[in-house]
Amino acid sequence: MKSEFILRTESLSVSFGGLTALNRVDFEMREGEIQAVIGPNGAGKTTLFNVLSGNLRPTEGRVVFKGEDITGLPPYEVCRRGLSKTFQKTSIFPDLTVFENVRLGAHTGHGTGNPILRSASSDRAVVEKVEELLLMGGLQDQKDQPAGNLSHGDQRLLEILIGISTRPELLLLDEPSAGLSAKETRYITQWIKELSQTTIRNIVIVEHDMDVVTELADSVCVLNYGEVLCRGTVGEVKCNPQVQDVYLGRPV
Amino acid sequence: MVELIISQVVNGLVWGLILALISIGLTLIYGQLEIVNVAHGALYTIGAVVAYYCFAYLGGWAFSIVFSPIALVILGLIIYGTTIRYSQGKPPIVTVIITYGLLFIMEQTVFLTYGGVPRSIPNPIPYNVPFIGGDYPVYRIFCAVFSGLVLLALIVFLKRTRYGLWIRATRQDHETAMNMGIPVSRVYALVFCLGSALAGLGGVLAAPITSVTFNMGHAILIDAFIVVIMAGFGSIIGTVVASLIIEVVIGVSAAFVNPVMARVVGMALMVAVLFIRPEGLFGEE
Amino acid sequence: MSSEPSSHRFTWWPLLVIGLFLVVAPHLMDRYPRYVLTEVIMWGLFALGFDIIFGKAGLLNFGMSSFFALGAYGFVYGVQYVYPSVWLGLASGMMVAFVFSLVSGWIVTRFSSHYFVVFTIVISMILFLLAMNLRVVTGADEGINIRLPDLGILGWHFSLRSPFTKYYLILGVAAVAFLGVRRFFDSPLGRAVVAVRENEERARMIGYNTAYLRLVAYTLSGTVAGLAGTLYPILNSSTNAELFFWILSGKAVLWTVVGGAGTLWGAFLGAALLVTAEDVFSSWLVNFYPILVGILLIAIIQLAPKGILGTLFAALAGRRAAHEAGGGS
Repeated sequence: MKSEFILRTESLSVSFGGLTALNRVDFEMREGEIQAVIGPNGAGKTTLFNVLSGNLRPTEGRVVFKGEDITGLPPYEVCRRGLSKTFQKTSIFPDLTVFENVRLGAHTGHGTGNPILRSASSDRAVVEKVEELLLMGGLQDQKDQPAGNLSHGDQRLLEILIGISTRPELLLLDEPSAGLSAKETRYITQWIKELSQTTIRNIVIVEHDMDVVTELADSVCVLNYGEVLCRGTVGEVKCNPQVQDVYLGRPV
Repeated sequence: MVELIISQVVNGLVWGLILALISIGLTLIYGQLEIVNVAHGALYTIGAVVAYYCFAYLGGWAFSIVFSPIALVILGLIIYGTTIRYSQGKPPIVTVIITYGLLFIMEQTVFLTYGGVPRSIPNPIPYNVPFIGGDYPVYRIFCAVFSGLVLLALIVFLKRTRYGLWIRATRQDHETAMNMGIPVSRVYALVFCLGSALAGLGGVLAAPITSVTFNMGHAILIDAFIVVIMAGFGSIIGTVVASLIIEVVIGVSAAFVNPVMARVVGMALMVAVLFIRPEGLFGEE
Repeated sequence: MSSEPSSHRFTWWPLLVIGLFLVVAPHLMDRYPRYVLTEVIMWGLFALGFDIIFGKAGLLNFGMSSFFALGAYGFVYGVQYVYPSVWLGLASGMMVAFVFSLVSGWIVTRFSSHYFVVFTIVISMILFLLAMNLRVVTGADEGINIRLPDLGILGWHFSLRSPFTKYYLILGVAAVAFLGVRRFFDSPLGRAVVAVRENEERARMIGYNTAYLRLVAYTLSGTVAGLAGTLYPILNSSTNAELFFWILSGKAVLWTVVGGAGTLWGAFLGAALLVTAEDVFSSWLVNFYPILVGILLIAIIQLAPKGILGTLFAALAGRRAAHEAGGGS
């Protein structure tokens, strides 16, 4: 039981004033899977992510990560324990170089030695990791550019690279395809798939694009009005009449 | 001792109402233009200086009740038109530095024209009324009543008039306001001038109580900042309440320690409030 | 403020040229220019303290004068009442500024943006009023005069009555502090401070305790400004409570913004230009100087917010980028 789920929540509730954003959500994530969280707008997907990453304190319930209660820990603590999140709205350090964007995260996950007495660029382990990640994202040629100069598609890649640079055991991806063209979406989907095979096995992904979900997800959790409507494999969920009612029945 | 404390409480309430005028100016400008107006104390000083000139050259302090606000509206228009207008949409750091520059310019200009010597204005209403074991100056009661009326008028203005509605609408969401056809930049100019005029009125009322000096704005700026932070930037009723609380606390402390230490007590109170309610007493998160 | 020159690209030769000039310069100068140059180095170090919190951490502290004044008084009290040694004075001045930054920073860095600005103003104004009020302790506007002890280095003794001793001591202190600060902003911790300025939310999400980093930057900033303050009594053999006045904080803002916020060099460049201007024109400008400060502040922040060096570095980086793009394809 303990090791079966890398991440689970116990009757997680969040309410703002009178509004209930999440209602007794039991979210479960098995070791080694990619799980998609889907649902119509306002279903509570982003709220769930914010609670998992420590940005939002739940009104009730617990978040258990690797068997440890992490409810209410600040985001930086959550990150240091191996849970990393990327943003739906690209959130990078626009005036710093691409290299440094990744380096800042890599320092958390791979940094060694004294954080004051040495130069940030002299930490071998960190620099090697950053080079490796940049190569993986195909951004090695632009590493000395300010990150704000990158194209939108490259910024989305950088966003994920920063997310995995902290050496997480679990990655929360918030709509990685946001704002991308169909072609770019296909590229980033394949890229994430490779990522899951080589670098990070546990991924929770919020996504609107059902093609991306179908391609990537081992299992799907459907939220509606802050509650878990159903869960299962992509096929199972697609066949569920309730889900078809609220979500898939309508043209997406 | 009890009498001293009671009279300090009453003094505190009077000062609190004057301070409320000044702080509301600060909080209006912040709420509308998102500018922390560091130069606000200098506007108060200019109001008081105009009051002194009215007394010295026009023969009556009372003229300044009209002339000071007019002078400050004009000054406000000039400041808005030359600097603030261009800083809209820039990061807060930029706008604060601009008002900081204005503080230097205004204070030194006052120093060069008015001079560095403190001057006082004789009490315009030289009567006292009997008050617990002593007398109380009628002028201070006048100040309290006058400030109260101005505050009421301000609230009616914001609640009942078209411009008041525009101000509140722009404050909620300036883009929507613009789309609705509200002349947003005119509203900004109006609010800046209104805030300046309120600071000036504060200076007019304070002038006969304290002496008029080129740097009298410093102490009041400290108090006004303490008030708006304690109340939560942007809340009008909260600002009035916080002004009264702060001035009573400072007044009563001044019965025991020197005025500077009394201000430290006021600041300690502000810090304590913020530790309990980081958004201020009446602020929204 | 916005562009962040990566310091590892900054080669060693400008440091060497400037260093050599500064070592030789006092011997080529008359008494008065030499005094001005000494002063420039001290004020530059003070502005460097402001650049740490403003340029690097992105927080506007309008109360820098408090740290400077506390450093000066810390030096005077240390030397006069504890032990007559310049080194002890430097240490005690820094210590006072450090403790004050830590305590006040613990309060103010909890708040961001507007609240932070207002807090720093309120604290420094109250400190000024206190200092003017506590004449017994501070000497108020008359200040305290001090007899400077000799400077002892490894058994050698140098008299601080000599302007050369003053100059080299001040230069040495400023140089060590400058190199230390540069080094700090090259370290992982220093880079993290910059990251918080750039995007606090993201920095928190990749494992940085941003409140702690703000406190680190605030404390470092205050301590460096305090160290600059210890140089004031060394230069002038006195200190006074007017050092607490906000106009001094305003000058630090001006020097840094003119020179180029976030560049570290800019603080010294801005101080060099404006302190010299102030000294040269002081006879007929003295009354208008604050007005000029105000106008310059408004003009620079509107027209060239990156300051001289910031604009220069950005232009160089642009040319380099264009060059690389052209050469690569």
